[in-house]
Amino acid sequence: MIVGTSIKQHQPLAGLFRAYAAIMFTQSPWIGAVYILATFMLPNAAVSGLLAAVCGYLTARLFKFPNIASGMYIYNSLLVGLTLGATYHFDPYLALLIICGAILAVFVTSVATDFLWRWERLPVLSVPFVIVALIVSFAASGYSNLSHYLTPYAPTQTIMTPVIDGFFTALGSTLFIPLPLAGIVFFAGMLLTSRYLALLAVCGYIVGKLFFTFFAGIEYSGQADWTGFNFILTAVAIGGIFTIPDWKSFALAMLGAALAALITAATQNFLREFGIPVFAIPFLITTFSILAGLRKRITLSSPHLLLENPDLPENNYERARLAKVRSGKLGSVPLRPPFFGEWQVYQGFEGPHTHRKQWKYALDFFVVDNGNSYQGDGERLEDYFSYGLPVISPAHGYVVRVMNGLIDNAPGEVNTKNNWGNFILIKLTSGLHVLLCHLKLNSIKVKEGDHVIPGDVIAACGNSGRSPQPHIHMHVQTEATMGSPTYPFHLATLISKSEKKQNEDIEQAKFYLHTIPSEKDTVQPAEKSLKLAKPLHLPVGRRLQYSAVIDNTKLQKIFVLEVELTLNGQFRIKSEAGASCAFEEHEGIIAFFDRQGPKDPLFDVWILSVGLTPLSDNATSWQDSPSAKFMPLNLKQKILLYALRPFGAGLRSRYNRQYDQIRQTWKQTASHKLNVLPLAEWTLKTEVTLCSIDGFKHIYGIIGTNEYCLSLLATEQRGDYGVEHWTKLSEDAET
Amino acid sequence: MTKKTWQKPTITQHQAGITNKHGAAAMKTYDDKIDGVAYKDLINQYGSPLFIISEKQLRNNARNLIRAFKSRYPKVIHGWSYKTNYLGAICNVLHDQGSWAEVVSEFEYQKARALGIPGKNIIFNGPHKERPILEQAIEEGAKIHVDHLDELYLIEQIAKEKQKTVPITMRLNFNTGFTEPWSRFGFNIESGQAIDVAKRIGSSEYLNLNGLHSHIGTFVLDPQAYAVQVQIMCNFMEAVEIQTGTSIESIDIGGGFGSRNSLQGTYLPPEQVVPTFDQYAEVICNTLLQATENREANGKERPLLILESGRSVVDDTEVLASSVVANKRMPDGKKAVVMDAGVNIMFTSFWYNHNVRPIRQLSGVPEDVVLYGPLCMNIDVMRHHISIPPVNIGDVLVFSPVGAYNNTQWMQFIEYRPNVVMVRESGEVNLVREAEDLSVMIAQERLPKDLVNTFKITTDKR
Repeated sequence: MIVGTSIKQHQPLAGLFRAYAAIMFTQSPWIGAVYILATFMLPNAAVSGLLAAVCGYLTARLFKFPNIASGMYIYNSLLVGLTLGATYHFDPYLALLIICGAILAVFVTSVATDFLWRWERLPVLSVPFVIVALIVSFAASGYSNLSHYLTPYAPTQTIMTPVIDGFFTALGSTLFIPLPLAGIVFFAGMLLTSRYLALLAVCGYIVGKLFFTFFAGIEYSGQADWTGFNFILTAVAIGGIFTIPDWKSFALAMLGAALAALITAATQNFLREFGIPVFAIPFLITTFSILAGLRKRITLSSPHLLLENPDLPENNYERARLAKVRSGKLGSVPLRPPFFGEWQVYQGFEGPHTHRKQWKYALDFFVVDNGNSYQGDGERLEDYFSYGLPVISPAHGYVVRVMNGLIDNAPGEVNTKNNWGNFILIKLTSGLHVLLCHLKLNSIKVKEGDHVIPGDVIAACGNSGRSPQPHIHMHVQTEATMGSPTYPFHLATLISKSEKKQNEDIEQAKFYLHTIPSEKDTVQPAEKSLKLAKPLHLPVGRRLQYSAVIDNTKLQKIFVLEVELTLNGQFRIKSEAGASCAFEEHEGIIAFFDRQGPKDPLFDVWILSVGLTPLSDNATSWQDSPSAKFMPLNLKQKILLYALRPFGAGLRSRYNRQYDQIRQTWKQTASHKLNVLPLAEWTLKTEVTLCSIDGFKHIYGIIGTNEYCLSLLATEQRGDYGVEHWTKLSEDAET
Repeated sequence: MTKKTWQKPTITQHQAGITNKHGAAAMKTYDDKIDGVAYKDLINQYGSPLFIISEKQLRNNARNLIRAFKSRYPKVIHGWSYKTNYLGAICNVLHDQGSWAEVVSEFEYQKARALGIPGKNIIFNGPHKERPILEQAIEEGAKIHVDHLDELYLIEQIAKEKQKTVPITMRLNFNTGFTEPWSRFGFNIESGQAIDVAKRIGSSEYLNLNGLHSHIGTFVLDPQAYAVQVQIMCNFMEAVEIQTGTSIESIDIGGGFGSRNSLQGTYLPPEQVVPTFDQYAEVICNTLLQATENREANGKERPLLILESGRSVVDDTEVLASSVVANKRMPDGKKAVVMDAGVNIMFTSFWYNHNVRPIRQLSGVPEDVVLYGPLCMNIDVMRHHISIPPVNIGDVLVFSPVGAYNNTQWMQFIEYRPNVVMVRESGEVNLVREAEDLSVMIAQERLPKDLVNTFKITTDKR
């Protein structure tokens, strides 16, 4: 976000500016300010809009609606003002009508936002505007004291070709300024915000217009110029804001633009009877139908919806890219191993026995010692290592079905009448279900409706159903019906070891962020080590004070990091220069992401060195892919990178960690490579010493030709009312 | 088909004796090999008596213990109880299996360090820790278990001098109702002493209480005893955390699991009375999981479970092969056999009835025999009663299990301690402790100059 400090201090102004920007999915108040100026190409509409916006703001403030500065309560009022200003002369009568409409829009926004969110997690978009605009338009058509004002619909002068003018006119019409010049200003704002949004806007317009003209004929194609913003907004919303960009989401955005053209024609013909324009009705109908429709799917496949946290496409893409590296394919469900300790995969995906056809995505686990799954003669269930061991929940979810009453088969016997045996079916938030089965008779500790989290003991391993020896079967399925097709999943944060093959050295157990183990691989959940986890914990208010040396010069400076907690509960670590990065401690891993703010190489070295840090003792090597923004590039390199990877690229980071017994510290080294072309490869190296007393103790990094060195001086905790500030000098600083 | 051994026909008087359901079990079985290696060859090469360790069995036991607990509770560590058997070879096989070192004295601490164990993987127990070794342990980050207040003050003093915060574990004692409370170690819960001490530690700038430890006894045959122990410790953990604000990171339940050995006075054979690792683990982990169920919801980690099992891990991995020196008939008519190994090297015969097996098929009528050792003392009895057929001089009898406590509590009394060998998983045999000889015995002696050769060979002048 480019938020100027001067505007930040004048919140009302920022809110007002943002309202203009928000209509084009931009958050910058500066761009909004430029948009306001652009509206003054048609002063009548501009004044009406401004009046409405101010009224909306004052209303929201008077009644203390939350988050006024975001512009959310204002842009619908603004649109109401603009539409009235585009239709009627601005005079005291109209002013009164605008005030009424603007105030109404604030309340409608409040209701509609809540309703749409609860209903289908849908964004409010310009729904309040359409409702209020319809109301005031119908009312105004009977008010004889209002005088019509003829908006110069047809472009007064041709700036470029009619087609290009048509696009800019359509874009200008978003704010009821159907002038190519206004469109150019808005487009510039869009380009500045996100190139991909601009691309979607252009393509969406072309597709929508072609589709519109194909049916309507060339002579009516001009109509698409002032309704065409519906195609643009639909393409932008579907392909850019509410889904993760990929080919499918782009195709869907274009399909949306085409459908919007169809709905535009329909709406136009219907509303013409009343002499009322289509407003944003086609955009809303198309966007809502597609988004709500997609939400009904029970799948993780593309296009991936982002209704909970929409953002600009570049950010969406970057987050998805990082998520893929860190928690596995987006189309696959990450699960924790459903047990404690070391188990072996009895049957993997597409296994030879039962994991076939639509049930191919399934894993069976059992405990094996020295090649045997039992001790003694193996004739009793109790002889089997797995029998009776705790089964734990592999995910967050609700228990939706449970079967608990089947007896465990004698070893070697199977019950084909009840294939699944005793089972627990857990519904995940994505709507998918996880099945754990062949559980021990009467061992299930949860009931339907219970909420479970990873680590909860929910049952014991048994031998019920089609199970010749005690084991746990786990799979993900779409439906709640037993036997419905399985769905891809993978295991997260685990230690796994492949079967030792002949003529091969003993395969070392390896730490994996995510993997799908194969048959005979051993799997063990990676438990976090308190010795690592405790010193690396970063609570809010924690300050880390380092002495920094750049390039081995004698020049030392103090470098301070501080942990902040944002309003929406995100932890961010921030340098004094203002650079900040979000982080999360989750499932035994500390992960940093979303670097913001000005250039700060010391900060970048710190973040890269610890970027992804597993808290398990067994983790000795792993990979990550932080944003390429960390790589200091010159302008030429930046242009090259942008041309090749417009969405941004990731570094290839390889981490290694070793414990130093003498110093009692862990040394975590990493090399970060950016490889966009075979010839263009840039590398960064970082190193961090982790200490069980001082945490992130020494950081060292080479960026380009510069060397950066940080040594912890002190750990501080910011005070609070009634809580004293404390400082703990690091061990080195003391001596 | 091999020809059966001819047995001399005998006539014996019918004896009613004490009835038992096993009858007069004749010794029909014998073992001539251990892990595929013939006892005869071992004795020929390394002499008699001879301690023989099975690496395979040792690794099996360690794996079984860890598997049983780790598959039931997320965080488990086994601290190898050095005192049970601190032969370097045994320790390092177990360390190779992932076990930490659990030591109780300066010597054991130094031995663990010498074997390459980092301080942070050493659990330092015991009531006697002098300042120098405590300083070293603090410096090296060992897990120190505090036994008494004076030790606590000493640690605090050292920490203060070093300007360090030392994490410590409190040893607790309490009554589970199952075993005789071991109240001489640690701090008592019932009397309120333990919580007072915890508060004292909580108020110290230099100490951080982060672990609890207790040991409820030895050869505990009822797993439920551990359920009570774990529950009491978890209750105490909650109380301490609330009252001092500390967070407990580990719960050490000590050792005490029985081994497959017959305690004297136990009626049933060990296979029937001694629970398996899985049976102990089931009870302990279930209790612990339940008692710590809500910890994660409260933002706390589940504590690390530390086991200090010694006997149950090592006992059945070692045998003692000993040869017959003489046959005797006692005045009461009972038959006695004198062996070349006695309680000097097999200390545990004071409380166990060890298995005794010949290495060849013995023939003849079994008779109740008392097995004596080589010492010139009455107490030197290896088995008071055992029914075996006649044995010849030089016949080898194998005593098992002898892995626990014998190689640490054996006495150097009038005899040399024998060789200890380990049969490796590969089938190779390694000498892991060489037999003593005169030079070993007198190596530490310092003879004052005027006491050298004091015995004068005088000629009788009378």
